[in-house]
Amino acid sequence: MRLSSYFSNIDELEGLIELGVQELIIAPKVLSRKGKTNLDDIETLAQKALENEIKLVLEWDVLVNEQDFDTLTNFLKKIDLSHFSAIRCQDPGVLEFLLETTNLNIQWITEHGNHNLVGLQKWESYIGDRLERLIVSQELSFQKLQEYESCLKTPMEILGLGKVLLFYTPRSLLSPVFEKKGEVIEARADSEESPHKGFHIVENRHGSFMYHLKDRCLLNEADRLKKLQSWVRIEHLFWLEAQKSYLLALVKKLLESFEDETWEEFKSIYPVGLTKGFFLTNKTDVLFPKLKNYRLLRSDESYIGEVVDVVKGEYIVFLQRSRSNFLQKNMQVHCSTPEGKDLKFEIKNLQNLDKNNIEQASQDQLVLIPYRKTVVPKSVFNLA
Amino acid sequence: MKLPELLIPAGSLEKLKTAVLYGADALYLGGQKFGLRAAADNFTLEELAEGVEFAHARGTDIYVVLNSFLHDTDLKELPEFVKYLESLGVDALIVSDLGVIETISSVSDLPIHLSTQASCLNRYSGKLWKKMGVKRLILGRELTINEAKRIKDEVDIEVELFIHGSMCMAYSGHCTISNYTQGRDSNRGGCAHSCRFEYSLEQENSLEAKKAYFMSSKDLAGIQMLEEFINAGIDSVKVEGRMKSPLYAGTIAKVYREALDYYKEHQNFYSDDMKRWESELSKVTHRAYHLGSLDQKAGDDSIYNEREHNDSQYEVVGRIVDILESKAVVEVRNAFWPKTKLEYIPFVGDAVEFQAGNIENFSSQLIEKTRPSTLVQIPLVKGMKKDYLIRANYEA
Repeated sequence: MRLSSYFSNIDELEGLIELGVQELIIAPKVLSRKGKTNLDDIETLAQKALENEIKLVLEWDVLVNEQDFDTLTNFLKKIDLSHFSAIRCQDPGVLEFLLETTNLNIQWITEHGNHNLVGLQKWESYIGDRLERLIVSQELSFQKLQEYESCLKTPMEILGLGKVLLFYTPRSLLSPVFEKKGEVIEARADSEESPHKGFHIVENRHGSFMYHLKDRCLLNEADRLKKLQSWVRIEHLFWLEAQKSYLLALVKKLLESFEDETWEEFKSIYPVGLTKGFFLTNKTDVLFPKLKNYRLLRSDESYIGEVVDVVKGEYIVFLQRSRSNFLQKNMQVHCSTPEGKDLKFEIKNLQNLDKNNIEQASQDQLVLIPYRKTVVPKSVFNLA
Repeated sequence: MKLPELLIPAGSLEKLKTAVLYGADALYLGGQKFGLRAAADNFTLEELAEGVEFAHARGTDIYVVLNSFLHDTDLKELPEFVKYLESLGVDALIVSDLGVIETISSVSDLPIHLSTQASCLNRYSGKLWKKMGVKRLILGRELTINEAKRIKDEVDIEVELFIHGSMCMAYSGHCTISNYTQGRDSNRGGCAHSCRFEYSLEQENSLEAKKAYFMSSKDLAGIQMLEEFINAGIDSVKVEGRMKSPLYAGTIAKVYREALDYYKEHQNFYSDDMKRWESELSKVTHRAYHLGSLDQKAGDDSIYNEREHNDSQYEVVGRIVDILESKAVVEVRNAFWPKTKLEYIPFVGDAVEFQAGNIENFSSQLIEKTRPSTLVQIPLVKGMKKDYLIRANYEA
């Protein structure tokens, strides 16, 4: 298993080397969403990593408005890029800029969307030989990852342990609430309208970020991880400094040989709850049929129109909608009500709104038919 | 001088027809799949055909949204649908996913507009998407008009910018709250609007939590910057709201249509009409209005830190669905009474005030108070036409 992790503090290097990371990501505050590193500190960190013969990657994963683009590229110029074997980015504009103006290899973050092979393969062909890695969506299941590995030329990377970003805005959302400014403001958010409590909110120079209350953790999926060739990213930027070395040691133990006792200890001291997210399955479209009343959906082949008003004991007003099936006197219709009732009946009489008898409704015409129990507004008529 | 296209949402055939009649230059709408509004009515294949025919007969373009981030299985049915859309003569497809762009390009020559879901925010991004075959960029709502102009000029591509409607607080396409908390993929149409919830916020070591709607954005209303849109050469001004009512689509379309037509005639907005248009927009149900990021990056005052409510003294109560000899037939959406002061809203020109008068059903029974989802008759007022919207004025 090839491991990648962040490097933001000299003191954590030993633990990361012990863990066996083959690559360290430096995340500058000015370019990275979760960045903790000042520009001035990059050189020292880079030297230290290179002394230990660990590959370095620079992270520029913020999205960039047009007016900020030149400012951020100027930040990039202050970094000695020769230390880095690759740069990772998520904004297509940053990707294009890097392809045009540097020779760095690209680790392309496809974490927002990109849930199909056709798109990933197109990114591969567009970026070409300089594409070193595809950092893929956390919404992809193990099965999909396996499938993609067999079809893509480029190695993938998945998040093995770390924060799940739910929401990213360039606006400052916490400082107005707490009426204070700061380089970083953090808070815990609960809503009575959601069963989930304890979202981690962070505001920094790039905007505001909402993270899942649980971190994604695949350490108890080591067997599956070993079946994948993908890089696995271990994130620790939000851990307490005092806990880092111990937690990293536990991560190492779990990845080498998973034992329940270690796992229980790890869970008990890990700062937040843990989730596998969508690693085992992603069924986030199964609820869609419940978002609207599919009973009332128009089936073009048999659909005639819908009921717009019912006056008890008096009449039904019907709107002829279809351009091919028309409501006619003496025809049988199949009526479906919004509440789920179905009935068949004959249209014994048909009138226009002036109360003149007619034989057939024309398109978009409102017509009156005799009252029928059970039929309510929004009921749909189909050919019987 | 080229005026921007006025692009209005159409969540259903009824909304489409209303928006066309009230002056939209173009409409965007979704089929039963592949769009981002799983809960909207959306269009069946036959409705799509009817909608395209209706719109094209009146010179209005139709763009179909295919802007979900589709999974592999979703893509299987896409080529057939795209071919069908092409056979109908739709004018463009709105797409956010590269896999979808590739799939479309392999089976069709339809122009592709890059959805705002792709968060195109800078000129380099624009260049990339242009190389991918995109004909128009629907830019991120985080951009100013000046930024949009620069991107247009540098990339040499059509640009579309939102001018009115609800705003995502997150970068579009970068919010997955619903995915993880409701099991609904927000980027395939399952957004649960968790950003509109009230949250209790607590900082470490703080003594008390603060309650706030801290992730909810005010609504965008850019009419006062319409001249800047025009001067910047923005190709299309877009109104958000496929889930909103036909009444919304019609009212917003009418106001922006009038404003654009006024500019075409006068080449300026030196007129009290701007105040009137703003007043008209305030009569539609909305959250507090704001300029978003149109003139500068949206700041603290862009947050709608309130429970959702409607301050408007006006309420759209229905639509005229038929004209009889001495009666207008009204499809009721909100209740009104015989003494309610109503206004009908013509396709062109000022709203006309009248009192509802005797309200009857089709059995000639008088009605004291109308109920939503019913059909009633009111006395015909001079100038009334089928499909006009009617609103109640509770200001008095």
